Amino acid sequence: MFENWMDVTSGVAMAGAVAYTIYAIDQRQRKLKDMMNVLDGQDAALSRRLEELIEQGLLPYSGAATA
Amino acid sequence: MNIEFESSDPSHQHEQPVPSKRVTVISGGAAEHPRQEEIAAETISKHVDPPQESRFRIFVIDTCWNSVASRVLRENLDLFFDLNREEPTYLLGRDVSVALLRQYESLIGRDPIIIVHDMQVIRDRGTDGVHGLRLHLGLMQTETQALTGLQMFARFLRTNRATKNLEAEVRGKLLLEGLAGAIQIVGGAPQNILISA
Repeated sequence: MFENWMDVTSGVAMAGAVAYTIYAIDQRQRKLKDMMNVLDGQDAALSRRLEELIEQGLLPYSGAATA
Repeated sequence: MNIEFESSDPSHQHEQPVPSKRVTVISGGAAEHPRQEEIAAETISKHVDPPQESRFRIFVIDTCWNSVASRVLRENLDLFFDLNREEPTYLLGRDVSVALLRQYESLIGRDPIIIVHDMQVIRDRGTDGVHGLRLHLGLMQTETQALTGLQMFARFLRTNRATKNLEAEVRGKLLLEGLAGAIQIVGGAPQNILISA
């Protein structure tokens, strides 16, 4: 009986540890993708807007304008 | 929407003069009641002549929050651009950046943002699919994180200028970072410097 309880407890603890690890990895992946990721169709409007700015006269940065 | 630029930056007097233009932004609202904003953007003249058919176009959006990331960007901007000088880089002034973020509200607080357009993809397939990459530098809350992020991004651009499939490279990089994070979680090592905010 006692051994069964030990088995159950250790099984639950293992499952919890695995679930936490998966959750933590997922959180890190999300955070990382939030910081850096590809531009896709959801960003199309902003991308077109930026290209429009160039067509309307935005020129490349020359350096030494800030800091 | 219409944006014109008025340019007047004395810091570029030693370079070729750039003709001034008037800037008007009309954005948001219903078509019958357009909102109009006057925007003056600083003159940006050419530091180097980027090739006509550059692989990338780099845009920097910065509304100049009083943040660590914004300060780190401004302090290291010239080095970042020097490292990627083959690519035309467009620094959007504060007013243009604010006008843009008023349209794209979800980006507020994430700037400075560095957006890279893969012109090879945009010329071939437009902007509907994967067509570049972006870095939300404003999400990095410490100086070390912001500087590391900027350095990583500069290195990534530099090393992948000639790559055929930028999307695969970005996703591979993210996967590697994710795996490194997983190893750190399992091993109990210190957290990844970029995502420990």
